Amino acid sequence: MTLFNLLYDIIIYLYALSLLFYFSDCIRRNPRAKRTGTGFLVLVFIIQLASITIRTVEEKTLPLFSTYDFFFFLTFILILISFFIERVLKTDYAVLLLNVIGFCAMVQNRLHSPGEGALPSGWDTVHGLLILHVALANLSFAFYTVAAVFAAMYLFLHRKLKQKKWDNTVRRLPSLESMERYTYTSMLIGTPLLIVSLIVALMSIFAEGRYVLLLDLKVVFTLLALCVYIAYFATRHMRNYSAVVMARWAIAGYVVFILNFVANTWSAFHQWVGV
Amino acid sequence: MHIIVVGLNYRTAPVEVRERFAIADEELPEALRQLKDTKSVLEGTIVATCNRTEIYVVLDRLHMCGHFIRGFMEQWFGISRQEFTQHLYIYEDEQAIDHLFRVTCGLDSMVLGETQILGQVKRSFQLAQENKATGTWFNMLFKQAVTLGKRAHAETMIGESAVSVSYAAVELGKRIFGAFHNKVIMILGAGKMSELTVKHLYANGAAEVIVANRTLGRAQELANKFNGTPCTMDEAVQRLHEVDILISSTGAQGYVLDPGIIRESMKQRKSRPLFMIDIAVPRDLDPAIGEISNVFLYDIDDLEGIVESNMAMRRAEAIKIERMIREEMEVFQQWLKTLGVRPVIRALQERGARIHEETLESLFNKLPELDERQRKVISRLTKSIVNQMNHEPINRVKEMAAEKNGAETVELFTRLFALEEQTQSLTESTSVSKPASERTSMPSHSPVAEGNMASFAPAIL
Repeated sequence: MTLFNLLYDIIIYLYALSLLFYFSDCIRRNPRAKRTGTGFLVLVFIIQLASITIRTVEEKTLPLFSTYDFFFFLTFILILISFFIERVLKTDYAVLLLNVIGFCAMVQNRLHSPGEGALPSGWDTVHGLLILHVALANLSFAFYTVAAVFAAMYLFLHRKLKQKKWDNTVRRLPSLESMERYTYTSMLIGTPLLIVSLIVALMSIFAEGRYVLLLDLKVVFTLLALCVYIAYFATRHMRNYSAVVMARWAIAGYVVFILNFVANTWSAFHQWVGV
Repeated sequence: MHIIVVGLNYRTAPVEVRERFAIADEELPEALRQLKDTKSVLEGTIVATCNRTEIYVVLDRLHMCGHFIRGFMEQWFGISRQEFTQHLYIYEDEQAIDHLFRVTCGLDSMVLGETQILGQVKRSFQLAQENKATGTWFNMLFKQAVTLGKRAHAETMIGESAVSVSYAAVELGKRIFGAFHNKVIMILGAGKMSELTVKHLYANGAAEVIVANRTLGRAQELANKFNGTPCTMDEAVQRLHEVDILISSTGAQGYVLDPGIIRESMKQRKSRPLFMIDIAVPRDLDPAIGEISNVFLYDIDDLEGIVESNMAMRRAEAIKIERMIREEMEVFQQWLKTLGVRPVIRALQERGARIHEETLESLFNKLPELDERQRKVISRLTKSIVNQMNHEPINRVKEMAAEKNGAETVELFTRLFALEEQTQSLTESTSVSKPASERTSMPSHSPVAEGNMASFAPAIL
C-alpha cells in the first residue's frame, strides 16, 4: 500500500494545484491558467487510471469495496465527466465546482477512510452482483453530483438575473435554459443507474433471504433519495413548477444522498462499503 | 530604415473628410503600386476602412518622408494637401508599430475592442503581399500584429459583451434562453428602438415575431420586415402566454401591463420563463411585474447599466492588452536587431557547404574505388562535421547581435571569418527591389551597414 499512499499524496497535490489554476481562471479569465489547470487534472486522471488498473490486475477485481475505493473511483468518474463538460459544454464554473467536490472526496478519504477494502463474507456467492451494484451506485452518484452542480449554478444565475446584478460571472455562466437541461439530463442518466443498482442489491438480498436488511437505515435513505428524484421527474413532466423549484428538488435529492453516506455509520451491513 | 504610418481616422477627421479618402478593394492594387513607386518607399500597406485610412510604409530615410507620403495622397486622392494635412497624424518607428498593434487589437477603434478591424488589417496586408508591396519588415510586422490581435481577443474578454442597449437586451436573453431558435417575440409599440432590438433577436434566430400597435397599419409594416404577425393591443394581451420575450416601447403615459395580467398569463406558461424589456420612457410595464416568479423584467436604465458595466470590463481588459503590446514590441525590436546578422550567417553556411563540396570532389577523385554507398556515408559524415563546427558560432552571433553593441559584434564576426564579400553579394541579392536612382540616400551596403539599418535612427521630419 506504500506505493498507493505515495500516489495518493501526489494526486492530492496535483489536484490542489489544478484547482488553484482553475480558480484563478474563474476569478478573472486567464486561458493560460486554465490550460495549466487542465494539464494538472490530466496528470491526476492518468495517475488514478494507472492506480485503478494496477489494483484491478493485482486483486483480479475492480477495487470498489471500501469507502476509500468508492470515493477514489467517484473522483475518477467526476474528473472524466469534467473533461467532457470542459470540451463539449465549455462551462468553466461547472468544471471547477465538480472538481472541488472531487477534491473534497479525495482529501476526506485520505484523512478518514481505511486504505483497504474487504469483501464481506456473505457476499462471496454473489460477488459479480456486488461489483455491479457498487459500480452503478458510484456512477449514479457521480451524475447526481453533476446535476446538483448545475442546479446550484442555475439558482445562482437566476438570483443574479432577478436582482439585475450583471458581472463577469453572469457573462461566463451558461444560460438558465441550458443549465436546466444539463441538470435534467444528468438526473436522467443517474436515476436508471441507481434503480438498476438497487434492483441488483435487492436480488442479492432475496437470493440470500436476508429480508431484515430491507429495514436498514442505509436502505431507507437510498429509497428516500430515489423517491425525491422520481418526484422530480413527475413534477417536471406535469410542468406545474418553475425551473427554480426543480433545481431545488435536484439539490434536495443530492442532500439526501449525502445523508445516505452519513448513514453508513448506523448501517448493519454497509459499513465496509461506501454505497 | 524606418517604419512610418500616415493616416486619418474618426478622431482626427469628420466623415465628410474620411469619405474622400476611401479606397475600394479593386483600386488597392494600383494604389499600392503607386505607393511603392513613391520616392524613399521600400514597403507599403494601405488600411482603408470606414473609420480610417492609414498608409504604412518602410522608408529608407525619414527626411522628407511626410512630404513624399502627402505627395502620394495628393496624387492618388486628387485632393490638395492643404485640405487634409490638418487631419493627418504621422507616427514613426516604435510609435508606428505601437499604433499598428493597437489598431489590430481594436484599442484604437470607435467601439473599444471590436474585432472587425483585425480582419480588415489582415485583408489589407494580404492584398499588399499579393501585390508584392511588402518585404521582410512588413511580412514580419503585420503577421505579428494579426497574431497579436487574435491572441488579444482569445485571451481577454474585450470583444465579448454588448456595448449598445439593443445588444445588451440580446445578451440578457442569451443568459436566460441560450438560443432564440424556438422563441416567440412580441413587440408592444412599433418604435425605432424596439425595432432595432427585435432585429438583433431575429438575426439571432428568433422563431416568430408578433407586433402589437395601436394602429394596425404600422404594426403590419413592421411585422412584414420580420415575417411576423400584426395584432392590436387587446389581442396582444390575449396572446401573452405564447410569448417568450416581450419588448415594450409604446409611448403611453401609464403602465400598459400590470402584475395581474402577467400573473394570469404565467399560469398558462407553466414553467417557461418570460423575459420582458421595457425601453419606453415613461415606462410601460409596472415594475412590480419583476417580482413574479420566472419573469425577468429589465427597463432602459437596467440595460444601460449593463452596457456601462461591459464598457468598464472592456477598459479593464484593454490594460491587459496594452501589456501584451509592450511584450510584442520587445519581440519585434529583438527581431530587428538580429536582422542584420542573417546575411552573415547565410554566407558562413554557404562557405561551409562549398568547402565541403570541393573537398569531397577532391577526395572522390583520389579514391575512385569507393562505391556509391560509401560515398554517401562519407558525404553525410563530413557534412555533419561542417554543421557542428558552424552550429555554436552561429548561435552565439545571433545572441550577440541582439545585444547592445550588436552591429560591432556582427562586423567583428564578419571580419574574423572573412565573409565580407559573400555577405555583400547576399545582401544585395536579397534587398528590396527598388530602382537604384531612388535609393540615393542609402550608403553602399556593408554587413555593418545592414546591421545598422535594422535599428531605428532618430527621426528628422
